Amino acid sequence: MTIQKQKKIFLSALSFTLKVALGLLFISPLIICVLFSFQPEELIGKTPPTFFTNRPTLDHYRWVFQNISVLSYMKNSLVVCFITITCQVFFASLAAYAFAFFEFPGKSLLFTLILASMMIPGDIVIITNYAQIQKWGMTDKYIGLVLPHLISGTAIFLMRQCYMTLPKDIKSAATIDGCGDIGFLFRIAMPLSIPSVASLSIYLFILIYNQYFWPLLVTNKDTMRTIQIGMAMLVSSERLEYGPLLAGAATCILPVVIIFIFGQDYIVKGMTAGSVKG
Amino acid sequence: MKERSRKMKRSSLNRVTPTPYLLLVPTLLLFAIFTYYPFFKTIFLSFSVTDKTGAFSKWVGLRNWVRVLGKESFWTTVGTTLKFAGLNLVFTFAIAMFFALLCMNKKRGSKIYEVLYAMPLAIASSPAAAIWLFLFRKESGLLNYFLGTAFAWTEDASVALIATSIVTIWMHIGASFIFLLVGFRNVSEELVESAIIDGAGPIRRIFSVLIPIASPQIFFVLFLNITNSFKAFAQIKLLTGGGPSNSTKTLIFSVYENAIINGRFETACVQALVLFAIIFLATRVQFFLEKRTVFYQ
Amino acid sequence: MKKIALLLMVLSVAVMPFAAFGQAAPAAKVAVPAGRTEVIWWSNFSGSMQKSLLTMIEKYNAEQKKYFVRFEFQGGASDLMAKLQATGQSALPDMFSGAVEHTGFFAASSFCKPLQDFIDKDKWDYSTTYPHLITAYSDGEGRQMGYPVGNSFAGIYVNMDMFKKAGIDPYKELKSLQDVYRVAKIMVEKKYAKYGVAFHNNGYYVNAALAVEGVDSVNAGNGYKGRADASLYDKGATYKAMYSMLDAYQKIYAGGYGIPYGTDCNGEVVPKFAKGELAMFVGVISFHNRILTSGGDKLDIGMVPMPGCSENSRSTGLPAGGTGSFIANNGKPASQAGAYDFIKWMAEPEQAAYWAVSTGYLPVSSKAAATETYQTFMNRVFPRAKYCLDAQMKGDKITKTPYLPIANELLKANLLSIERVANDPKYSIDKAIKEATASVNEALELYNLAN
Repeated sequence: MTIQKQKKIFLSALSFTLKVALGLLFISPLIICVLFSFQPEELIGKTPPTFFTNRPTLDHYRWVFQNISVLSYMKNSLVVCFITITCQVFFASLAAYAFAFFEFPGKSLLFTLILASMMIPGDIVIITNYAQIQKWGMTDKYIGLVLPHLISGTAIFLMRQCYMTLPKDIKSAATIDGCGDIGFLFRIAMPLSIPSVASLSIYLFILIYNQYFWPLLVTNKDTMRTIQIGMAMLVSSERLEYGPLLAGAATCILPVVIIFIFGQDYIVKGMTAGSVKG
Repeated sequence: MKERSRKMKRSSLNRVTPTPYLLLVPTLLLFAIFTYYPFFKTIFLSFSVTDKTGAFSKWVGLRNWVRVLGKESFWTTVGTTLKFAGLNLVFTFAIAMFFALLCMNKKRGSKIYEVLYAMPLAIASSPAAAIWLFLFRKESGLLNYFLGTAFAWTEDASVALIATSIVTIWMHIGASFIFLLVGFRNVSEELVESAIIDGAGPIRRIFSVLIPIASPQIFFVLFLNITNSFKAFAQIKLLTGGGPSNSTKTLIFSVYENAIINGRFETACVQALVLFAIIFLATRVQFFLEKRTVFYQ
Repeated sequence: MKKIALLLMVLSVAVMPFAAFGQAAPAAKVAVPAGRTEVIWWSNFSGSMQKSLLTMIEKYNAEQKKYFVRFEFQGGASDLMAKLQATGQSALPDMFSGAVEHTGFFAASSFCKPLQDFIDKDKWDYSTTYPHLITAYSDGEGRQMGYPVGNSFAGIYVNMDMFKKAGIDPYKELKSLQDVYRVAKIMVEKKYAKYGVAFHNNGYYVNAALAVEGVDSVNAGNGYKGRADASLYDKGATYKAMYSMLDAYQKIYAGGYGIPYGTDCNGEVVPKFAKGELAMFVGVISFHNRILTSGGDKLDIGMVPMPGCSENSRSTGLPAGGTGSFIANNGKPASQAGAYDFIKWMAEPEQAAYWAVSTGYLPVSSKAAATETYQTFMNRVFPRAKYCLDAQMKGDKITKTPYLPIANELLKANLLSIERVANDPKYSIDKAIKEATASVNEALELYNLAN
């Protein structure tokens, strides 16, 4: 091996190590959270801080799971995510199909309306929506938690991008073969859009799982609360001990981090679909 | 051939079926009930006074707007909002740009550190606030320990806004990083190589090749950050509650405070509409600048 | 390969919720036994206090067969109040927790049913309840709105050893906030203490100090004699008191005699007091337990009643503080009756004594204070509580915090006025007073316009 080559390998190894080290520094709050959540409470507050204790304890996690219905909250979060994602994908596909494959009067007006809705920040409409959900008696129910979010401009936009990349000739060919409009949608267009559906699903999952304000308003019963509310209540109650707080945070973050690590490619595709032209 | 297909298209145009409208029904219904109706109700309420249950009580017209916009504290809030947005914009963009440049060339194992730079975007604001609350403690907090400082991050009015910005920036770098990275990776190899052949050093390459080609993403990222920082709520509520001395009270927090804590819906509606106007303006500016300066391949 | 891994991950996360069906959650999951009426209690009590309440609820549910009380935590005090305001009548709980200084707010709201409606039908004798509590939880016409649970006492925790060394008798010397400034200065300059004073940062203390001083915060007899529509902060005797109070705060912080205003009480102030570094801590009695568990059990702690604003302070009574139970107006007479029954039960001397002992709140009635349970606790842990109880008995009926239909705007305005002068030694006190007056006036004006 020439010196040149050795130098090159050394430099690239160095650069790799530095980049990883920077990354670890960047997510150090997460690492600290996990490390300290296993420490006994007296050690957590001490300076200088101990990072690796020789007396790790599961006490905080035990406390969290015993006093906060973590699994119940998690269940609610996941159910809400599942319902919301399914509906959004379905309704968005319908709408996107209409915009991508049909010409009809009022098409551009309707599309502008939908784009405009993306600019109305959710926080403006949240109070009125809450009053509405209450009037219909849907508080403390899954339907109340999901109803205002069953469609979003982002979803329609994304699915439309996807459908627009399908060559129009496919539709004409299918129509000639006797496949109706709806048949085309279900039997050909949707299956072809699965990659986009995957990106959209993962992107929506992170969004819905992390919702805080809406579930706070809509749920009163502990049994219906989502994981973010459970977490926030830990924060807003007496801040005496940080052990349970960190253990709770770690538990709350875990599913999303796992899905993120494994689904990173899809997320990237989903997030960048609208912005990369060509 | 072309004539025929055009004729075919025109004939399918004339054949107006109810199908597309039916397909759009669920979408439009949901938008009408949960987006447009509340929006117009908000506008209506902003010209009135609401009673203790939040329902419409009396029409007062512009008086409400004059009252809210005439208060010095309102403009302080707007100022805080803009300051917060500015901090977030500059640092999120700068750090995301730095990370994106680092990862520009896809190398073996680059996925590992890419995941690390992007990860905080998957963390929700509640656990993020909890973790940073732990780090921000004055006495035995780790941030003070590592920096050698003794700031009361969430309790001192002079640093509270910086503290909430740190958390928000940390959470949002990931998204900007991903967008920028995709933009940079889109730059064709040949373009970069010809720049090298022309004798352009790394700095020149960044400014003359990378940035122009990735300008669509860059603009998108800049304004994604602005709108994100206008909407940042949960971390402010959990870290500082708008204080101390209202130093972290942004417009969105003020909307929450007026609507939920004080029960003053009409004030919240006015503030919400001002917020909407700012966001709308920002997106208009984005579209305008994009047309002028962004270079599409 | 990657796809399979992803699929596996998603599946395992999806399976998790089904594990939830096996998990029993605290209290909330127990089903209502047959034949009982459920009573739902929305509250903001958390942590160890919540635990004590849950124990008491369990006891009540076991002792009788008619009702079944269920505790539902709704977040912090402001989250709870927001929820109550925004909830439709039929979705309201049967009873809720509320701070005593918001009694006027609850009375004016549509979600609170006055306790008096139930007392009239029942003729409940609660006369051994401390008089200032009875007054504070009733409206201007003497109708009882709610009943105290947490009898909080605003005052100054003092490190008796430091005061002995300095030769100062806190019970005689600390009559006003100006005195607090004077003493804090001595403590720090003569090096008896590292920190002179720390404050629990809450707008309540402004009205408490004004009440002890003997001046009204708003017109219309401090809100008790009709609709208040103007703040008195910038007028007459109230103005003088406000000025003196804010001046004291400003001087304390300008001189560096105090722990920065707004410092986390539980996390930083309490440990410092427990370690013997802090001479005075203006707070409420519920901090006492925390001081003890942070190592302060070796200290000789005194509790001086809340001071007034200036040397003109009347100091003839005590404002009530803390949280009580109110019945919600949800149109369900059967469960409301259960709520009333439970509130009465919690007021029984033995139950009230248990609550006081486990939380550090003072007992709500003299009968509860006289129980052996409480007396043993007091003598062992906090003998100086006797001064507080005596002060409560001597209180007059005039010392009250304002009775207003607005709640949070008032507290926020108060808090901001202190923050302004505490954080900036040059901030004009008149400007701070003007700001607070304008905020309160605006809130009152809007409320009166709309209701």
